Amino acid sequence: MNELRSEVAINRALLTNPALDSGAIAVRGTVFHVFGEAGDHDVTILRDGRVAGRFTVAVQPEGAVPQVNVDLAGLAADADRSGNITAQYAVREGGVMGFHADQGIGRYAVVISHTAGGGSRTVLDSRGQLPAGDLFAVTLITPGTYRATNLTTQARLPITVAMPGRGEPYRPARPTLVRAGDHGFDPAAAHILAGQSIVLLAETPARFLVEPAPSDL
Amino acid sequence: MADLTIAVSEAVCAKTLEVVVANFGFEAADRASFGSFMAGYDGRLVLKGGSLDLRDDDTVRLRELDARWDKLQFTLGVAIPELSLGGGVVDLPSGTIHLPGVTLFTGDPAAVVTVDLAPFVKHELSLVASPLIQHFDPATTAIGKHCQDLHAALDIDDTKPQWRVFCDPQTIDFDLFDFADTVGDLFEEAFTDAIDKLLPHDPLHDIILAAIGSVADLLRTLLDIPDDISEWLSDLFNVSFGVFNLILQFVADFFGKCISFFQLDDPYPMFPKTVEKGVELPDVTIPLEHLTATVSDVELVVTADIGAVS
Amino acid sequence: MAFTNHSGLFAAVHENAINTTIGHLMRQRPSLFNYATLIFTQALSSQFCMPIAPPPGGGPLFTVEPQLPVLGAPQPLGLDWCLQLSSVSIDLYPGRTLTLPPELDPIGSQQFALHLQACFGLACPDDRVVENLAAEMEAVVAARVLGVAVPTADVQPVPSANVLCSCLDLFGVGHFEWGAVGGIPGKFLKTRLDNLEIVDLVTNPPSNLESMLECYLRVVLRLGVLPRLIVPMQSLVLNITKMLQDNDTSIGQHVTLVLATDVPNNPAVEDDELKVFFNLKVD
Repeated sequence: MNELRSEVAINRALLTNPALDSGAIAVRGTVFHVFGEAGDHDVTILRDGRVAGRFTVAVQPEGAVPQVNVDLAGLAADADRSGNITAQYAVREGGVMGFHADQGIGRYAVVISHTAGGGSRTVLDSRGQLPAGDLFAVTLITPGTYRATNLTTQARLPITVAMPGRGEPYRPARPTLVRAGDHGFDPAAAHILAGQSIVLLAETPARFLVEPAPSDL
Repeated sequence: MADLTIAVSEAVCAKTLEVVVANFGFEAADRASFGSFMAGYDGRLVLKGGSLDLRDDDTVRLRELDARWDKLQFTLGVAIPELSLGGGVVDLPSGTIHLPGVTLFTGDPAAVVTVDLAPFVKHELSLVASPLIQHFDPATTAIGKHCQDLHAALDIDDTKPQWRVFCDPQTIDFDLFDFADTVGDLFEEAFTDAIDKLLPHDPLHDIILAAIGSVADLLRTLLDIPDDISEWLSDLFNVSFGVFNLILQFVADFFGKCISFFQLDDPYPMFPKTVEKGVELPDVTIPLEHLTATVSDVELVVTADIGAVS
Repeated sequence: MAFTNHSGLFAAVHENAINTTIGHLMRQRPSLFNYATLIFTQALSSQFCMPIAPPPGGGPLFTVEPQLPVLGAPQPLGLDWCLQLSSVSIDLYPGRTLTLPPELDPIGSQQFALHLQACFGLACPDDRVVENLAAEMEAVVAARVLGVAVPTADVQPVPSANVLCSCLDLFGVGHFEWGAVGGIPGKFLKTRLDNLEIVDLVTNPPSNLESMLECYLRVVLRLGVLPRLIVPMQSLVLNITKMLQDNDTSIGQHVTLVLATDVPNNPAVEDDELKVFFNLKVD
């Protein structure tokens, strides 16, 4: 009798293949924000349009880590009744915070405000455009053809996702970087294996949507 | 000169050996946690064949007994490491960015497989033994539980005093566990099967399997095996579980203290009870003393004296 | 030379073992060696020619036999008696332990010599008892002469408080042989008596008394004692064969004991031992 233990469950979110929108972060999508200025930043997490949590990130000139990845689904679950999250975050100036959802069907957004000098200035509202320098990464699992669209410029990037060949070496952790600028995507097309990721770098403010190509819908 | 002399030729001893060996059965089971994995086994070892030589130095040699496992169920449980898709790093002029992976499983995935290792290992047993005489007294002679069960199955009467002649092993040669290389394939198949059963049957299935990669490699990583599974398994049985030593001890006890080649009731019932003219006449029994057993290269000789009338 | 040169199994019993065994037999089953009438359990229990120790496992001291009839008595009368055999010993060929009478000496190859002492006790009534009984007998005769019906009576014991004992030494010569027993499978080892001699019974002038007694005792031994000593074959080779036979089904073969045939004598009586040779027959 050979088995996996029954308390194990496949991450159900992987079994569906919805479009991935940088404006509504879901499982398989990650928004990376680069903190260009030192100082405290307030981060508000929204889940399906409602505030789900808040926390502060201290961006320090030096001494802090260059990157922190945050699971929005996990944090939202941990937030107290007033929506405050007890975790403390600190990132180096020029460092990166990655926002992703590990499981579930929620769609998330983050609003980051720089609070130095007594005021509050929004540096990122992921419901709109990602500022230049930020990135959107998507993990594509189901083989087929996809299309990434920069909704700001309407540029399109065809993406081919192929099944890994049997017996061929295969590593999911080999992302492909694509730059998105005023003149479209570079490279102009991407080819990856199922389970790998495409990382879209916004050279200019952009909003990205990645979805199966129309013939595959 | 002894009062009683019984001599048994080498050929008759060999026939008796066949019966003794046919009743040999070693059973053992164990389960243990080794940190990153759990392992257990449940097996039964039996003997077959072999040849018997009587030797002039007062020893009996049993050679080339085939020791095979009737069953050797082995259970291995490993915790599957967190598997994820996506992830990796992207290098930018401003620095390196690490992508978080997408977790495949929630919960604590562990794969537990049970395989029958019996066809993959066999041993040979040889031993040199000397005759050992024991005066069995049901009131004072201790018998282990396993031996009691064996005696019950063989109809050996442990309720009356007896002289018993054993072949007490002086040296035992038993092969260490050495699993065939093909046992690795068996595990790979079993684990693939275990993982396969839970996965949905759609493209995700094949991708996850591809992401897991070679199950054989995965196993080697999880079990921290430098080389092949067969060697690791052999060490597990020989050392970690200590089955090898358990078998040696059992063989020594089986031949040396449990199953005797020869028994004589003491006192010996010469004439059974009978009824004559309505009157019951009890058994006539004679006490036996000074039982000895010696071995030459052609025969085993047992001598005894009859005790005086009291 | 090995014991099993001619057979798979060999068993030998030394004459000392046989004599000790006879001792155990006499101790544990005295009724085989002591015969007497019922009165010896009661009034005459202390009058045996030789005292009998009660057997440790319980059981009778002697075998009860009918009384000796008083021949010619008008009404049946019986006399009480006892016969006790003791000092039983055996001497196997070549036989140097017992000193045999010249009629039996020397014993032949494959033979054994036997010695025992037989004591006969007769409960002899005193004169007063005889006179009283005589009066009864006369009364019975007279009644018959006068035509008066006399009811038949059971044997009436002649009471006595006094047992007269006389003992004789007996020597015998015999041999062992295998034989079948009617209706029972397998072979049995049997003891056969070839000759018997009473020592020291002298009459003047010489008569057949000794011969008659010898005849009687020979018959008693052959028909009464020796048949009880037959031993089935399996008992002699003890437990090896039992283990093999019990397990023959598990090893898929049928195991039986057969007498070895390529030995000159089987059983053999020699070197002061009784030897038996067997082979295992495996189908």
